[in-house]
Amino acid sequence: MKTKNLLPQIIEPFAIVALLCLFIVPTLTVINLSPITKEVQDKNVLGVNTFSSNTVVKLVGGTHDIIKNETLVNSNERQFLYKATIQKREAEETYSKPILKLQNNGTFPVKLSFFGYTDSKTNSKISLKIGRNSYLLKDYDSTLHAQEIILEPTSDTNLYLYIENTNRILFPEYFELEISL
Amino acid sequence: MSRLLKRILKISVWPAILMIAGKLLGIIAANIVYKLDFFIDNQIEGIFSIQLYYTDSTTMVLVNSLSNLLMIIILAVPTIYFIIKTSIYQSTLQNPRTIVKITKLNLLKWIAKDDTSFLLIFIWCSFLLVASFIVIAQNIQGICYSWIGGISAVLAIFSVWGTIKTYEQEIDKIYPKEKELY
Repeated sequence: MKTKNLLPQIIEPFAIVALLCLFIVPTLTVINLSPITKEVQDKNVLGVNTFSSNTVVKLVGGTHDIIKNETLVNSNERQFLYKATIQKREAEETYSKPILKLQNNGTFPVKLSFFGYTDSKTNSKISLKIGRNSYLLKDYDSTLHAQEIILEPTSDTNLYLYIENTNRILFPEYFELEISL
Repeated sequence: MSRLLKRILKISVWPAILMIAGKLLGIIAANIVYKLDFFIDNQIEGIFSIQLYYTDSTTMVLVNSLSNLLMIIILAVPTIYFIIKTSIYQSTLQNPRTIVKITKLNLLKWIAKDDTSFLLIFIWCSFLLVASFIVIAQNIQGICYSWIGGISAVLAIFSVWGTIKTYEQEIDKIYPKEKELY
């Protein structure tokens, strides 16, 4: 007795599903591959970061008569250390220099904390300046102040170091500025 | 299983692979050329579990637009090639002048090989349409450059028009136009 081969009829619905999949799978894949924007989360010890930070801290550099030997060390992704030597200087004078360029390439504001100090107690007032705003780091009586700056999304600014002293300083002093994100 | 279904399945594999490959290559190329930072994250909600992220919207739009452009080009080039080839082939059957021109250009072998069918053009055009719809939708959402959306729309319209013309030519083979016969 001749038997009818039913296999092609059984396979046919699966072939239709396969054909539909050939259209649906690339469509969904392309939609899924389309990137989206998301602010990087600060991962804890259980997470792993696969990105570089949006916030950029760069050394401006250049030459200055009083502020010399500038270095910027990126100790980790959220900590920077700026070092400079402040040379001997005259009384009742003010000195200013752009020291750092701060950039926020992200979509959310970033808070930057600053803590500056010198290795000696001189009657110098040291502050940071952004535009017209002044942020006091070290007072005439050597009192230290921590400062915070909010950096707006997709913005960049230059940070100035501003030094004022009442007395004549006869020796160089070392200045350090800790920057935390 | 019907021969038509077999043939559709066989033809559909390549545009499906190229659609994904085009998008993926576009993303990789944009990341390499512009030296971009991206990260991949898992999400519990929604259809997809893995998502590609960029930290600022400008970069995201740039990468998405370039990858969309590459995907559209990869799908449009073969579609347009098949349409042009078929239309020239059909023209050679009806117009002796075209045969002369083709012979002068030494394209007779290329044209004489009738390996392009309406089905092939229809499937490639369908994939191009799907890709164009995605690009236009993303353009409306503001995550793709408008000029890329425009290019996609133009290519989609042109390929649909070409597919319809090919269909008409195929139909003419079966039911010839009366005015041409008498």
